Amino acid sequence: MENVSKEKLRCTIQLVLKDADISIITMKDVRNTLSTLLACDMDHRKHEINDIVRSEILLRDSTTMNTADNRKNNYEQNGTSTDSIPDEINHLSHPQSHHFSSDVTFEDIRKLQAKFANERNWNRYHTPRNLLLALVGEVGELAELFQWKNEVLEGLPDWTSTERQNVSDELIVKDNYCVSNTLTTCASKTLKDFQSPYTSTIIQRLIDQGGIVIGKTNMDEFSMGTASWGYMGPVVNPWSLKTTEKHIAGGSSGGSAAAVAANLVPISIGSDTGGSVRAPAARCGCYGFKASYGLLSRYGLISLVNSFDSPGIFSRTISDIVLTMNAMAGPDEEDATLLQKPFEHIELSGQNEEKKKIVIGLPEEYDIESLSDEYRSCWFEVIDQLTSLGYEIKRCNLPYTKYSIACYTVLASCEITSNMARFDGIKYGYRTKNVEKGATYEQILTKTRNESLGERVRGRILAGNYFLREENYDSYFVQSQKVRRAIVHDYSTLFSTGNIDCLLAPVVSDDPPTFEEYQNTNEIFTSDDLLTVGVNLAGLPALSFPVKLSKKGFPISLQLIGPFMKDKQLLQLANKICSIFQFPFLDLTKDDS
Amino acid sequence: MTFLTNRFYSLIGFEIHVKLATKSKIFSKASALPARPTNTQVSLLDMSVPGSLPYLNRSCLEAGIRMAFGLHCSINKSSFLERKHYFYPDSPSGYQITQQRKPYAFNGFLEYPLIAKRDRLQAKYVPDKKEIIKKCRIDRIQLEHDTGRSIHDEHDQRTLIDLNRSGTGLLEIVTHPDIRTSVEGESFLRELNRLLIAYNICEQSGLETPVRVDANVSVHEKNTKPTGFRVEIKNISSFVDVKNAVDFELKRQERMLLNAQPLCSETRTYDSNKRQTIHIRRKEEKIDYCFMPEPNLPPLYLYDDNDIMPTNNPNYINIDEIHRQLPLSPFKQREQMQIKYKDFLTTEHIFDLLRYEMMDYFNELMALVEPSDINRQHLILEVLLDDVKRMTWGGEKMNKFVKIIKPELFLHIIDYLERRIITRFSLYEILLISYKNKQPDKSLEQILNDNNLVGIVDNEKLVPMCQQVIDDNPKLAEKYKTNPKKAIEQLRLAICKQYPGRIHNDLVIDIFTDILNKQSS
Repeated sequence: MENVSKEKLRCTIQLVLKDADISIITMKDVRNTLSTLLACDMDHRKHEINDIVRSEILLRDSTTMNTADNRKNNYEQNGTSTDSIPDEINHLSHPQSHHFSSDVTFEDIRKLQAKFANERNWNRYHTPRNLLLALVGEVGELAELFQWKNEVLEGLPDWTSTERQNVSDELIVKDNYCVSNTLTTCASKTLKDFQSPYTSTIIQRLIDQGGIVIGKTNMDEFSMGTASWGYMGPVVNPWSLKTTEKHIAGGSSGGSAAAVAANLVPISIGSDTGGSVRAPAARCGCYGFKASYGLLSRYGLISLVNSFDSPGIFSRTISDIVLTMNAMAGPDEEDATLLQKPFEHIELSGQNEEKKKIVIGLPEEYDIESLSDEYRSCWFEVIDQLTSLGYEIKRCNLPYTKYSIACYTVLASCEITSNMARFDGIKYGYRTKNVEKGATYEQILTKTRNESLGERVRGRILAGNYFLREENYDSYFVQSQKVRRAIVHDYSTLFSTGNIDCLLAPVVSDDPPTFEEYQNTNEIFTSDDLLTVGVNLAGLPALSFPVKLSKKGFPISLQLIGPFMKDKQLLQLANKICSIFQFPFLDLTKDDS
Repeated sequence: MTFLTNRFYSLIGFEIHVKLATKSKIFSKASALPARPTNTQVSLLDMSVPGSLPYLNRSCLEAGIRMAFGLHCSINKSSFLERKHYFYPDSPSGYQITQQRKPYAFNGFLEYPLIAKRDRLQAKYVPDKKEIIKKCRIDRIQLEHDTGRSIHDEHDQRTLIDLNRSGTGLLEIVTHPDIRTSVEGESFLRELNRLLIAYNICEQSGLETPVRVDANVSVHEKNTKPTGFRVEIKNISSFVDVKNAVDFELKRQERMLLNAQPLCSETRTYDSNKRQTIHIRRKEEKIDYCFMPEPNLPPLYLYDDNDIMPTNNPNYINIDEIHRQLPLSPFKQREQMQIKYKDFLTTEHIFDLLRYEMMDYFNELMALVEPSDINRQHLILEVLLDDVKRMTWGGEKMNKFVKIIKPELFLHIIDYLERRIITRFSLYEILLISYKNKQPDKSLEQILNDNNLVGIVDNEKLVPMCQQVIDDNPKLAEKYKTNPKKAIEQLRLAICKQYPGRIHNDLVIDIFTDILNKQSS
């Protein structure tokens, strides 16, 4: 052992290095080989060996191609090869405490990468080279944030919150938003292999401001449903993971809601057509915000009902909603239905101009029959709390609310019928293989749509076609538009002449049903829809927020509904109101939860 | 076209699709240029990629408003776009965005002169001169977008789709059935086309037809009211085809009625090779297009000088502003021409200029002539309607002529004619040589010299020449005594034959008269 002379050691090292590729070999490799060759443990002579290796490499470089300094520079610049060089060289340029492990080999990284790709079934799209290049791109983006900073201390203590946000924001997106070169399936067989060629406006704006899209979330097929149970299967409510029976997460943006509620990501994006953000947020226990229609661009959001669709945000704090809204909102020359004037950034801390008493309305029509006692009493408890804090509570009426589900059903079915017409299997998406060569367009069309669209989707298409027939148009479509106008008028009268600042109402009527219960109901629309669709018919902003847990251990949430385009005021008010509750947010990233 | 018998009358109406000459498509930013390699001008919207949204191209609406003014239409200051649903492989979204329940313009009319192009087979022009200005009412104009194009590959038994055209802006103009004959129909379309070009609404391009016509034709027994029956001939792409299709259809329906065969509403197509219409489908199989307002586009709001302009939309359109900037309509242009050139230009001349496609060329030439020089202006008109007309097959080759004989060259030749460097006889020859000239650099002088076409004006040369002719034709000199007019004419012909194209009539007639008078005295 000790009797191996320094000379012999050097010769053996020369031998080892002679045939090795020094850009791959690590110090550990060298030591392992030495211990095999010399049949002794080399760990205690680590420093001596390192010295010899280093001098050998430097000698070789100066004699062959590079000067030693250049070599060192190369090592520094090329971050990926740092772990293959002797520790000492690292120490020369990094006097701090930061070390890269000398135990990880490139082979390890390659294997990890392969495993990572395999798990996600990326091999269909990405070669290892492709992935590496993507990785380098990501590293570059991260590096850009550090570029003009001087030495960076661990934990980034002297960075502003926005700068830190840029580095940390990971977000997750409902699978009906197009994100360039990723699958965008709408949880439908029709689009199960559809690779979007572009990125939707609001997602692009988030990416531009440092957001990192780490995945897409499950949903109901084309957002039609309340369980997030599309072609890919259901989303489990995160509060029922430990129970024997699984409960639904609500829908249609259930995947996005569950991910945030479980603390897998801080922010996720969904879409709200008839409550698809507020309902799953309420069921999963996180904030769910639906902005006023016309503030957030719908470009790249696969349309369900164009005139109701509104992008929405899930988060665990209201300030995250504000941050996301500020990044996404504003005019976009791809969406003609947006408000033209620039978006005024929301500040939560801003002083309210007027110090008058806040009036909160309680719409009596929202006290529906199916509302469970537990949920109703939670609603009233909150009202009592708010009264005691000095808020003025006012009972009020929205008389046309009882027609809202019928009105929503007709208008939604009509637009859905129309929007679904493009899925014919010709340009993209699923195309039937069960036709012979020379089949007519009609044959291909019928088979393709029959095989790829779910029952619920086909049901709505059928209904929409009925409502749009020339002889039915006036009695269904036109009539529903009139009702819609009456509903809009209901809300605006309350807010303007009724002097009400916002409405407080339940979002769902009871704890989420189990998978089995959900499967056994045949209703397409439930009485719960009454609580959510009115807001979509009128294009209002609304926030669903969790208050407490029910006896069975599911979140009970309420919603605040604000006047059209008063998103800022609504969020400011919500921020105050929500600070009174301490909702026990779930965190599945911790082992003990 | 007239009926074989006197028992019937006809009703003809058009649906005209005009392709707008805008740079980009009506709802997307893709280029709308005609005739590009297949599928190279397709945006996400044009192939209906999920999540794509339409955004109205303002210049399409502006072009539409110019058209509405040109056709004296009432304008709806608030109209909306609708989806018309039907499945077809070259219509990628499964619907067409158009206007159905409330178009942006309605209730107009167009007055047009009855001028049809010469039909090569029938060689007939206008049959009726009493009612030379006709009027056709316009029912509505609507904005919409075009579909893609299906290309049927017979060899491989498949259909290929080109989406370049998908999403280009169209105006659909629907007329009342005010047209009675095929010639009226053609005349109407030609006047409409002049208006489209004058107002820069569609392009005058040979690459793709910017105007497509559906013609509704029905024949009814006199003294009966129209029954509502009609035959629609779809997608006719040239005006001559419209005329022939209508002619064929009128004859076909008349023959059916004469044979007491029942007529039913149907859709037909026109085969321009066989010159006949062919049945496609019966009209009874009515399609319900499930019209629905387009939810992704706000209503089309228009403003005029009396309105308060919207503050929230900087892109608003003031129709009065567009009205003020309208160029002259062809109708007004012609009125002004008649006042300006009242000394020599008649209505008949104007119609001839239109008929032979010479109107623009004439105006270009006039712009280069001194306004007071009426003689020269008149001469130009005369040369156009005589020599140039003959040379260009009654205006059919006028496009080519205009390209080769630029107005400057034409005036140069006219100038030589006035200065007697060339003669009225050689004019045609010179125009023809210039027209067929393969060397564009060659000057007019060179052409004249090479072809020995310079007119002889020098009396010292002319007198001996004339003397020689008289000497060669003693019989004619004799004849002068009995029939001087005829003798001189024959002598003139003789000298013209000897020096083709170089003789000025008036000069030689004077000399001949002089010489013969001297001889006889």
